[in-house]
Amino acid sequence: MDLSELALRMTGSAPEVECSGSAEESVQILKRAIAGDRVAFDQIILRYERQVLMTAWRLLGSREDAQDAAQEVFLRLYRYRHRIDEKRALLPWLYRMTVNVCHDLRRKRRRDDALAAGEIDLPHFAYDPTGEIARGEQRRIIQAAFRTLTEKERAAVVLRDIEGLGTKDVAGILGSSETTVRSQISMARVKIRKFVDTLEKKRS
Amino acid sequence: MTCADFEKLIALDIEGDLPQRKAARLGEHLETCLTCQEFREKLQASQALLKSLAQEAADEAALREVRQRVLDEIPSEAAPHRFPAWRFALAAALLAAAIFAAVTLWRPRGHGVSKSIEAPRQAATEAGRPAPTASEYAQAQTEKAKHVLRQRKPLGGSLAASVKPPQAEQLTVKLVTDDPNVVIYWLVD
Repeated sequence: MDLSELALRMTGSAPEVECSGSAEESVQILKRAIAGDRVAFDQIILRYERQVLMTAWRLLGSREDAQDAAQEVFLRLYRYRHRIDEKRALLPWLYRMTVNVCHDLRRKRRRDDALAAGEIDLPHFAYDPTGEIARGEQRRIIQAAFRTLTEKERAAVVLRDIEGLGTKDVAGILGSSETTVRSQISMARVKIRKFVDTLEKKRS
Repeated sequence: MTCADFEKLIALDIEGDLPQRKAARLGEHLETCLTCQEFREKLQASQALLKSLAQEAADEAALREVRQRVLDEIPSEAAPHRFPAWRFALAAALLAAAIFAAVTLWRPRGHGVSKSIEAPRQAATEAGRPAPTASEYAQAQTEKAKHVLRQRKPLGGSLAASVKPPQAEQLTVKLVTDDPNVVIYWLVD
């Protein structure tokens, strides 16, 4: 099972087109896209846009920034398509590029985390630990908790816990050792838990 | 190890990221520490919240917008080149060469003979004689060539000395005349 299949199986959120295409078909589409076939490239975008956009959205915390990042990721894919190894899964390359582009975008726009600026902005909703939390509110809690993480911790936890990749794959994407990634994931999970604790105490 | 240290292990163990040796040690601690047991339960809840985001539907409008922006940026010449331009050029050059060769090498026989005997026919007509046929003209040309060769002085040994034996890679045409002393070699490079 390659990385993309693993990710899609674990997240259970693969678009239909991913499930319907065989591995051989994926390779053929990638080959055509690398050769400059615009239609095949469009198919590649359709196949992977969700993973790229949502990962960028979680890393940057803003829809507009995530769109800019996703656009840049696919443009880089087009620009550097001749460097792509068609025999290897494309998704890890896209995840790596997404993390890099988000890092560049963050640095370029100098949008530091609210925590770093000492401006913890709790989400404006009524937190109810015993009731059913609306999906939009869940996202706001996590997005707010993400602000307490470092950039590396955020990337590690997004890829491991939300995109569902294995620790080894996350390490490959981030260019770190598995030990480092485990440490980042551990720290991130603890910080998120403590953020939710703080939220509960403020609301109670 | 303190409970703060064990919290980090709990955070890994909860998703199966903790090595077995450390997991056993954590298990022993959890049996006796209520604080860490409580932390583990809370962490399970926050992890469920975190992982629920994986099921989140993508914003279709945002995806569509990104797709359109990317396709707008890609140059239009990115259309597939299944048959590259250089192949078209090569095919055109080969076709032109073939046409040139056909035009150069193919000459209708009847047309060539009539053109070559046109002048003698015209001369015969002007002199009031019957015009020669094609075969008569060819025979006359052969006799004329023989006559020219007979009138040449024998070159003897000087020719034999000056003519080098043909090399193996050269195309050599040997013309034997009636005079045994005269042999003509055509050396074609």
